[in-house]
Amino acid sequence: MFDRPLIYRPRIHERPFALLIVGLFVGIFFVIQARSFEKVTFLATRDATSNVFREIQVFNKTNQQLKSQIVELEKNLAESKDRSTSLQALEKEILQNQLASGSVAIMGPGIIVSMPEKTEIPWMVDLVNEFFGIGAEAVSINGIRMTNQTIGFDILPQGKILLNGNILQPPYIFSAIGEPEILSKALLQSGGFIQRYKQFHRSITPIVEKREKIEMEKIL
Amino acid sequence: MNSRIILSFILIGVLIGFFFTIQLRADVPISSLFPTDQLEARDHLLKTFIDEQALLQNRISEVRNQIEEQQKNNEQIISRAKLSILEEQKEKIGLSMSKGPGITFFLDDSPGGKRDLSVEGDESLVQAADLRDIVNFLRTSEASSISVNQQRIIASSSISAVGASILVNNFHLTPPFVITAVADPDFIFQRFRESSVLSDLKNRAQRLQMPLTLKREEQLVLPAFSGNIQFHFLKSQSL
Repeated sequence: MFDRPLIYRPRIHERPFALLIVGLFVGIFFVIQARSFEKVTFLATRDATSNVFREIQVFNKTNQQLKSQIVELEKNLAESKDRSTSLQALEKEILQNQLASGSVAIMGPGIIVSMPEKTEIPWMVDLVNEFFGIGAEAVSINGIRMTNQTIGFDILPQGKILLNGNILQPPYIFSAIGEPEILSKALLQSGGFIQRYKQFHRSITPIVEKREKIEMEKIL
Repeated sequence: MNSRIILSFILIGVLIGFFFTIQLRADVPISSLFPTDQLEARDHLLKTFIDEQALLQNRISEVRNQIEEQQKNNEQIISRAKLSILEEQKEKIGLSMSKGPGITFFLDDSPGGKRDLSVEGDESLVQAADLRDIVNFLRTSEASSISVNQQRIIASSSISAVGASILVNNFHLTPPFVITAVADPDFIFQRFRESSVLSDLKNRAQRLQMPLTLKREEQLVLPAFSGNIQFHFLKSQSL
């Protein structure tokens, strides 16, 4: 009656099934963990890392620029108060504002950054921001000048990128007028935009080129 | 064969436990690489720069207003047409106040977020990238003027971060962040409801309980840009 021991042996096909379920859970956890890490990395790479010296350098430079602006404005005020120079002062201000508003064609030395086809909108927003942050005086993308009236970057249902109502065709050429050496160094430095971009897009590298003359057309 | 299967199960079980533990939130002991006295010296130095910056920006606004007043007083010498051109240009560039109906975005750190002790890219804190994305959204929605915590945003404005500090026009700002825009409120609300608009920020705000609200405003007054606009390299092609 009891010639066979009472030991339970799982049927052969239950073992792979159990391993499958366990493997599935391991896979799910792995993917959840990997995806959460990816999101944090994207957010973390969009801005520069902490650096006390850089903070101080930025504030110092900004305050120097503000002081320089005050000197220029006070000179303008003095000229405005003098009847013999007031008209000249006003015309100088109008010309200055024309350069800023995009109502005249402009030119100057600077750099060009060629961004690859798969560049997402946040990186474009960040690059324009970076240019102005490091001292660019004017920026354009594929010939479209960035001014106060420029309608921002938007995405169309088919994945095309819209800027100021125009569809941007790759490659995306970002032009910036300013001191070429300073601009390119700032973009290429450790922790700079290019390095942060490459952290997220390992296989593609934007190309940075210095130019002696960059031209930008006026806004129509 | 039995011992191999048992070993496999043990290994798999260990892996599951490992990932499960990582996935759970854990309190990390707070630590810093900088000694306290160096942090205090840095904070003091930054405060000096920030205070100086506020004084300089006020002075710039003051002098620009004085120039405008003087130009109006010079109407006998300067034609009205020229003054009108100047006024129009200033509105275009952001050098004059902007008024009109619009919207206000309110965005703050999550209640559990600690800005002084955070690491870069801390999702529970408002990042400079979030502000840039909101400003870009407002630009695509044809806002005529935008400001962040009373810092007027113009074409050449930059919104950046150095560590946990957020700089707008290189001026240090602290949360909460109030982003105002003179724009068509109905259009903005309609666009904001689209699931693809600011999706990452909306998801994060919901997940981490970061306050993110949008409010209609009947009348807004945005200050003029009070920063630096000087050109050393750029010139007109016609010169």
